[in-house]
Amino acid sequence: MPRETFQQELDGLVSDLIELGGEVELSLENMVRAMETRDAEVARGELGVDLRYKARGMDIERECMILQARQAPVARDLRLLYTVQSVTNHLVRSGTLSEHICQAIAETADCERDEDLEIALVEMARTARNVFDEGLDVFRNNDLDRARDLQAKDDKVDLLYSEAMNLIANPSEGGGGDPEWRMRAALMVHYLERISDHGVDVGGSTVFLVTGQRIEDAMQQYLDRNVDHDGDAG
Amino acid sequence: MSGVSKDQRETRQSGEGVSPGEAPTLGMKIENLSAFYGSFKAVSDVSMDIQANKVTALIGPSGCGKSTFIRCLNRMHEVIPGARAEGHVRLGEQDIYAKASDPVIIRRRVGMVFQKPNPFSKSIYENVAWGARINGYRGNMDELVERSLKHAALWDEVKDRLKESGHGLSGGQQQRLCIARTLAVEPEVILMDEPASALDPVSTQKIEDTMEQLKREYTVVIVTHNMQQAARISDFTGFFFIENMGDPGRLWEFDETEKMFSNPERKETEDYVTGRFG
Amino acid sequence: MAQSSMKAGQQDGGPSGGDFKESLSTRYGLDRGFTVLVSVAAFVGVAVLAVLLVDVTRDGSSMLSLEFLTSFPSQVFPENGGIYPALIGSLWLLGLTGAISVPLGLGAAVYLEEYAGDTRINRMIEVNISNLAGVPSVIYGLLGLGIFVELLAPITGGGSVLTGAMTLSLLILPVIIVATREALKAIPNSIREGGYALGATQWEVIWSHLLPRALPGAITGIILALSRAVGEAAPILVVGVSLYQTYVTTGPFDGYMALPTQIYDWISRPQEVFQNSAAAGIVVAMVVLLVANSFAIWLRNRYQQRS
Repeated sequence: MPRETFQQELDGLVSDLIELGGEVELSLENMVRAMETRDAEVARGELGVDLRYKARGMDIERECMILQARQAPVARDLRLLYTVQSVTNHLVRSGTLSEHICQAIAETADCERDEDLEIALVEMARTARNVFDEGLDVFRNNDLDRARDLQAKDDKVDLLYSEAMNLIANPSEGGGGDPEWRMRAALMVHYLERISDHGVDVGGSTVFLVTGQRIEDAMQQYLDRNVDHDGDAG
Repeated sequence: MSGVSKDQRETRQSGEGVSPGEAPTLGMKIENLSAFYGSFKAVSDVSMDIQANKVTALIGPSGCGKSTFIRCLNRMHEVIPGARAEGHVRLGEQDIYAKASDPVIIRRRVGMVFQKPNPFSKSIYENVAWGARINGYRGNMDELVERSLKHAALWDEVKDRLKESGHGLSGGQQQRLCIARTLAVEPEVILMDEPASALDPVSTQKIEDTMEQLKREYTVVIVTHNMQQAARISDFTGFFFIENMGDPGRLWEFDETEKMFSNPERKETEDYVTGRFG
Repeated sequence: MAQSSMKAGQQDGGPSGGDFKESLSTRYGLDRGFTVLVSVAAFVGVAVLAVLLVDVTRDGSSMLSLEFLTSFPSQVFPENGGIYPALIGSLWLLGLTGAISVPLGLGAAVYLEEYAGDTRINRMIEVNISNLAGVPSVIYGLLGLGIFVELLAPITGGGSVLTGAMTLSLLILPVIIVATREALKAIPNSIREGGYALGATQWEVIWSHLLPRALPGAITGIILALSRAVGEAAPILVVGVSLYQTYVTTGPFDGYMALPTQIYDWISRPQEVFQNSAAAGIVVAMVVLLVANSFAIWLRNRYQQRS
């Protein structure tokens, strides 16, 4: 088969990426568990993983650079390398954010909490993890249909985010908990929203990889078509 | 008969009053062009629009008819005994395959640079001047030669040795000399059949830079085997393909170069540009 | 791994691959032998020519003088005889034959090579032109006699130097045509294409690019052809070359003498003075050819330098 070596290198790159993704998934899983069970030990176990992820990410990016220099990729090969770099970034950032959240959990283990806020946080964490896993799955399987659904899930996360921010601004009657914890909680809300975004973007990148079109453009096309047909918005 | 008015043509021939960029540049519109060698059909039913002042690249595997096709655009194909073409090729308003069209005039309006540089066995000056002279140029020949050599990015290298033989130049210089002599007859379209395939990378780069300049004033069509070259220099790309051995070549896909090299429509196109062919 | 057998005298102990049987001494021996053979062949040719030249010059030296060149041949006073009318006649023949055969030959070659299509008739013509070069020259004489001398007598004046030149032209035309065609064939098609692509007509390409490039080869053919023409005796004997004239050729319709026939005449006489005259005549003929060929070679070199 022509360019067999190149194809093997590309396949190897993708499998490295998926492996990294699996590990980040695991980190997110641990993060959610630590939050649900208020388990500081689990949280502490995650400290320092981001260094590993960053190193792995750099390796993958270096490999992309080399392939681009040596193999002059075009069309789907070019899109693949582009996507790999984009997804790597999302994975590494998500891993880092997850580590920051675990650090926060570990450091505020003994603090007093706001019940409502904590419930919202856990909900967000679960959702963020789900969205991330979903995004990675879309990439693994090049599943365009689920990519579309993923865009919709992003809206749910935005809703949770608004709720949480509201709760942070307006502590509940039962006591707002330790200010230290509240501050960390605000950051965690922000980080979780970012993780969710990363998951959605991984799905979007997959759409670009397969179709060459950006998902936003595709969605806009779809929406415009509907306006034309129905005469009213959406 | 010509798409250019008689006055414009005469003005151009006399060399006065026209500066580069004023002469109208035309695109070409090809409709259902087929080319034959005797009874063998080499190119089948190609239709495409070649836009004015743009570079259009034609790519595709060997033997798929790109060279045959491009030679039909200036009626050089029929110079080969037994060869003929059917269909319409419009240069502006005029169909170059109409009964009333004169191939000799067409070949002046649609110039061609060949794969292997083929300068005449004359001085550098004469190489450039000859075409203009036989086409009746009555203006200042020295000035025309200088202008043409400058446009071909060769003037600085040869201005002190215009009387020397064209064969004394390097391959890349010879090819630019061939470009200069094509420019001297003031064509509207310039066809290039793998112009850099016989040249080293530095000469190739110079030729490609020249093409960037040329497209401001002319329409350029280039056949190339070098995909990176097609991606670098062209605005539009056409992919020629043969399904089975012995079939005629067809135009499989034609689009903006950006699209052809980032997200082509057809699988065969993508297989070809990514090198997964064969 | 099997060792190859080492041949006696083998110099270099290179890697011994099993399938290669080294026999360098034989190969070098053959190489040297062949070089010797070829050199001998060349030497023989040159030597024969040298011997001829020396012999002829020696024999003719007694007769060679300015008088020889400017006198008429004489049977009464053979010592005072000269080659003048024959020399002038041959020069006329050379000039007229060149004037007739060169344009015709070039034109025919250009037509056959550039214009004529690849049809059966044309291929037949091509084959037969080469055959014509092998036809005995006296046949051309007979042809010339029938057509130029008798049929066209009112135009040509019968057995004039013009008919002689026309006959000789027929004889040498095939040589010129073949040489010119080969020279044209050797020009790569890319030159033609380059010309057409600039909007040139076929004639413009031929005149500006092909003929100048073909000229060196064509001239070589012309040199060979005209040299042959000057040396031919049989055909001009048939069409009426004079073996004795009291006047010198001054126009194309005049009668003429020629060097080869004059030499032949002298050689057939037993007296030594005539033998010497013949030798002197041969020297003159060779000088004429030498001058003519040198001019043609100079012309050829000029065209070769241009391209």
